[in-house]
Amino acid sequence: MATLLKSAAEKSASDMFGRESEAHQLADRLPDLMLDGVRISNTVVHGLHGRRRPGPGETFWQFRQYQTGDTFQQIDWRRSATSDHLFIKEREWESAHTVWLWPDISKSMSFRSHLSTVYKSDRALVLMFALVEMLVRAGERTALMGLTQPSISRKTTTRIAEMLAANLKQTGLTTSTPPQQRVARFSSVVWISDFLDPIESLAKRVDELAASGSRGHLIQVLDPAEETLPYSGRTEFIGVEDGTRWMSDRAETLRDAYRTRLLEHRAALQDICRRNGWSFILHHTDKSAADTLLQVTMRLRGEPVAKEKVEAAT
Amino acid sequence: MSGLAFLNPALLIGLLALPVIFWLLRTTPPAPKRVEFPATRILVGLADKEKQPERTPWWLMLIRLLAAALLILALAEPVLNPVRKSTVNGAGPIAIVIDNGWSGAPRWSDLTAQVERLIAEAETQGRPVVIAPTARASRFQSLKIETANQARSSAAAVQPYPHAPDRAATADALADVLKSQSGVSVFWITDGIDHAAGARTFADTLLSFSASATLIELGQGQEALATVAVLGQGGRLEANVLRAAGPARQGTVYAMSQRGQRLAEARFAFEPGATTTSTRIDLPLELRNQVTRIEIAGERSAGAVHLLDSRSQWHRIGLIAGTSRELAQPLLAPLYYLDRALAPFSELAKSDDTNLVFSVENLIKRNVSIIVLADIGTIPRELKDKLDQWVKRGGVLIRFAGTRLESGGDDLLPVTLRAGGRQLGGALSWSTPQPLAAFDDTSLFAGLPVPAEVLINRQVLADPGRIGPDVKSWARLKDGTPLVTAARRGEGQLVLFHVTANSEWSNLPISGLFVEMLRRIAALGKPGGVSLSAEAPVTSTTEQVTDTAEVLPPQQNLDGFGILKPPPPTAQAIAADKIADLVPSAENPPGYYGPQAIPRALNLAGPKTVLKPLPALPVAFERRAVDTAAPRPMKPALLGSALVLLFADILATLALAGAFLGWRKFSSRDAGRGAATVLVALTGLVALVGLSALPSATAQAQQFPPQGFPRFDSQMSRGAQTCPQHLTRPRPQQAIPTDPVARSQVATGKVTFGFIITGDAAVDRVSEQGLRGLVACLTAKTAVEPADPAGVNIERDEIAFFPLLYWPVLPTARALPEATLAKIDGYMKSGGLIIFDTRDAGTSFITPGATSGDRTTPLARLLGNLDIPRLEAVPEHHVLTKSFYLLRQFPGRYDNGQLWVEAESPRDAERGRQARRVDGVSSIMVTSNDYASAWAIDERNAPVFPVVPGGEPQREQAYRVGVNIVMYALTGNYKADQVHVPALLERLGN
Repeated sequence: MATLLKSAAEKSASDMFGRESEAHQLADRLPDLMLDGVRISNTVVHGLHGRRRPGPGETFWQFRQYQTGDTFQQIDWRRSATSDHLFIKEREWESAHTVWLWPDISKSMSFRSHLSTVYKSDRALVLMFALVEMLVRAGERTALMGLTQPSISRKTTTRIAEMLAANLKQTGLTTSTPPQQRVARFSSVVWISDFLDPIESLAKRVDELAASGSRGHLIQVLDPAEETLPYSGRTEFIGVEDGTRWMSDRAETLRDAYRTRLLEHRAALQDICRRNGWSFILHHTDKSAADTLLQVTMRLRGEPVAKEKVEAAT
Repeated sequence: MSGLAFLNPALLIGLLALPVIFWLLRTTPPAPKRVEFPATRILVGLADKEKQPERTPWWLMLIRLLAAALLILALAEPVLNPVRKSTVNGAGPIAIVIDNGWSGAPRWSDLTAQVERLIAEAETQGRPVVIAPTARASRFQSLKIETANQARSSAAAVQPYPHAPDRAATADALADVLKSQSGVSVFWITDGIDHAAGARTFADTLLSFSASATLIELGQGQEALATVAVLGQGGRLEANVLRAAGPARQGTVYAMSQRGQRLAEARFAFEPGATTTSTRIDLPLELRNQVTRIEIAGERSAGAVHLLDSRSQWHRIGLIAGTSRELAQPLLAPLYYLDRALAPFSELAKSDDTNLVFSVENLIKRNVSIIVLADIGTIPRELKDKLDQWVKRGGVLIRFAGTRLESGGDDLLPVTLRAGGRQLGGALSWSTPQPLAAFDDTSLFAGLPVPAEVLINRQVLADPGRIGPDVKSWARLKDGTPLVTAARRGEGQLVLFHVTANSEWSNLPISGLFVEMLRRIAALGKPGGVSLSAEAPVTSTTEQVTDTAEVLPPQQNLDGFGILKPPPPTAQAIAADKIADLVPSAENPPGYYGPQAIPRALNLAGPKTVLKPLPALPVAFERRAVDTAAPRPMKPALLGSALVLLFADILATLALAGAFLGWRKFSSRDAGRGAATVLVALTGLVALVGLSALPSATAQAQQFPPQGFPRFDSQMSRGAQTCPQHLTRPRPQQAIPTDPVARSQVATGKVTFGFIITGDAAVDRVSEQGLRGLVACLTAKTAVEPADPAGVNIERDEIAFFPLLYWPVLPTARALPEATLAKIDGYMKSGGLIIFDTRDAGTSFITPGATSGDRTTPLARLLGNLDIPRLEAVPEHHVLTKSFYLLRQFPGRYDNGQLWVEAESPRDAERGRQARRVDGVSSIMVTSNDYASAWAIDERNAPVFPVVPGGEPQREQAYRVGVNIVMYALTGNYKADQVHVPALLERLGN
């Protein structure tokens, strides 16, 4: 039905911080899951991902014989005492991961149907802030694409919120695709959007991002109405971003065709993700954000998501 | 009959457009819902599976079609009960025959409306009209062919007459007029009754000269009713209701008294097709005799009224006793018990004459129907013949035994008496007092219970050998001896009670049975009385026998609607012997005839009257019913409903567009516009309702008078409360009416004080305010709660109502006219009290000891010719000093003046024209202290003038003086008597 069209640009700063605090609460509910993740994967301590090679770190990696050039401080005297050689204790090289985030708060995200209670953009922001908060707590470096530099500061979440609130009016923020930004290798990209743009432009952008060697996660946030087209009767549909209009005399007859098209579009998206080794997560605004957040954290951690879960999501 | 016609039937073709409208409505899709939808891009290009447009809901379609249909119908201007188009063709005159006898009166408005329609029809066709009423006041009838316009006024002049129509004469008159005409259309608006069996002939005559004839009848159940009051079993009043034909019908009959009181009602009901029904009017005899008129409720016609005359009313009974002991020992007087027993249901006539002959003659002259002779032994021969003749004409002679009769009777007795009576149960008798035996079935008293305590001690005895076969024993003693015997003689009766009419011989007269017996005997009396002269009623009040009253002049007559009115000029007198069988006519309309006191009633319907319906008429007569309903255009109603439907359509369309799903969801412009429309409509409605409610709201607001504020000032704290401040609110000021009657009603409704209107507005205002203040003080502090004071114009108004008059004396006062002085004098002598106040603190007031000759002071000028009594300053123990408050001084606004009251007059000789002290109360008070100014309060109960020199305590004193004066005026010297209470108590104690 009629929606209150409120563009993301009009969202006030306080609204943004509201989202942030909501995300904090969401993140607070999840520490147990994190600990579980720690137990399963011993190779990672909080957020620092072992590079499986010696380097600066805290986890023991190997002993090797002393070579010229090594400093005395490096010698492990206890190990060296057991034999005639001097040994040096090497630790695994551990470095923080960088996660680049891009929430879509364009016009098309400012939609809420009668089936849902939250706007898509709100949900996207909540997901993003929760993710940032969790990543920050885990010691990862996070950054908003095009706006902030990667940081491991505790205040990152707040800083991102501030940046968003300060730059709401900028056109870069109101586009659905993330801005052009060089993303370092091995870093991750989390792109939260409804991905209703033409599939070609999406594919192009994903390919560009993937080309830098980063891993990516697409979170498609959809209103349940966009999934089921719950309209009937003589209805005129008005596209939000480009003003496209489509008139239907009996909207209820369009449902099947629309669903087919939507699934095709999503399949294409998933195809792109698969091709680039990215993951795809579907989220509906009438569902809990925690569920999706859990999925994202698991994906970030590199764990496979249960097959049936993906199926169910699609 | 009702019907429906269209003024613009051509517009009904528009109804053919309804299918087109239907199709249009079907194909025009409703406005689409607009939805902001991010995924529109995906939708683009998706085609609807069903190409046909969304259908308008069927109910919305129905509303719209209905509105369209109503609109078309409204434009076609339908009219309910239209003026019927004539089906009769013809070019000649239209003859309208109206049955305007009594039977047309109940539906007269329908009939005249019908005539009106017919005339209108004739007017449109341009045909002349003949109005032919079948009943007339005169014997001869002249009819005219008139234009429709003239006919209208002729028709308006036609009124229903209180007698049956004379159709034959009308037919002749019509034939005379219309014989030469051709193409005549006759309309006969009939009452449906075949009066004098002439309807068939009448119809034939009508057909003989008319081209077409139409009979216009009253509808079913609207037939005229007639009523006849008859005396049924036991003298009971019964009403027969008659009609010619008709379905089952119910109604009510009223019995009315002469003064128009409804004494009784009785329901009647007709079986279907029945032409007569009867109902009984149950009334006690006393009331029944007061019934003068029986009428059918709601049936306004002369036939529905039956007048009762004296013949059906109570009897006049003459009482004559042999002795006249009434004065000395009323309980032993022979007529005492008769009087008591008969008075409730009959008129008693007693003769004061001691001469028996004169007495009886007097009674017969007074037209009595029953004569009671108590203990009259011998009747002079001359009188005996007269009485005999009277009895033979129908009089009832009741005789009571007594010592005189015991010595032998005469032949005006039903039985021959044995000389000497019979003593039962005396000191020297073996026998015991005899009770009564049960009454025979043939007895007049059959069915009356016999009380066991009735005992007969002594009686006269009938000679058993000479009891003839015509002698009936109505009552017997236990041993079979006749106690009441009766014999017919001529048309009358002789009745003998074998005991006295007092309780000397038996205790029968003091039993209830006696009353019942007399009541039954009294019913035997000939209605209307018996007179020796022909059958002419005589006046009783004038004691003047109208022996020559052979002719009964009309007294009052019914008009066609059954209302008694003075006789019309055409009414003629009736020969007395013919009135019984006379059928009312134009010359003798129904009503009362004869002398004023005992008129005879002439009624339309008699006991033998039968109302016959119209016989089968020639088939050439077209029959139709009277159109009762007026034409009612239906256009406004139809347009209104169409409007309502269109409004409903607007609301429904808005609802479909989602306007009412929730105010929050307004986002699109169109929904907003819809909401705006609804809002405007609602606002309009609310405004309308509000506007209509507005005047009442303002009216309500005006009903609350502004409240006065109680004054709280320093006087309160000083403890010297002045009276009016006890009131929180000024009492509403009632205007004293100027009309003398209304004024007296107001003035006597409550205690009212008057002030003399001097003509000086300021002074009068102060007087009124002053008395108002005094009234407020009295109301607050005493049991006296007077009404608002009334201004009195001393020369014009009646002053007797006022117990107290306040009279401010102006310096310019002039002498009063003699008549006014007399009035004042009378007022003072009858107990009134006048306070003369010179309001000048004693500057002009000269000791009233100065005589009236001194005309220099205003007061002396004013009262110059009124001999005011000698006055004195209020002495120390005067009642005024203690009538309510204990007072020493009598200050007003000033305190240096004296209060003068009437002095105790030591010499009676001085009382001439002097106002006396009625009941020890001085009738005059003279002061100069200006009481009114001290008492005066304004609307807010605040004092108007300051008092000098004492301030508020002095004002309180002034109020106390006022209270004391009022108490003095109202209670007189009561307080003075109180002084003696201790002495009285002491004396009582001893």
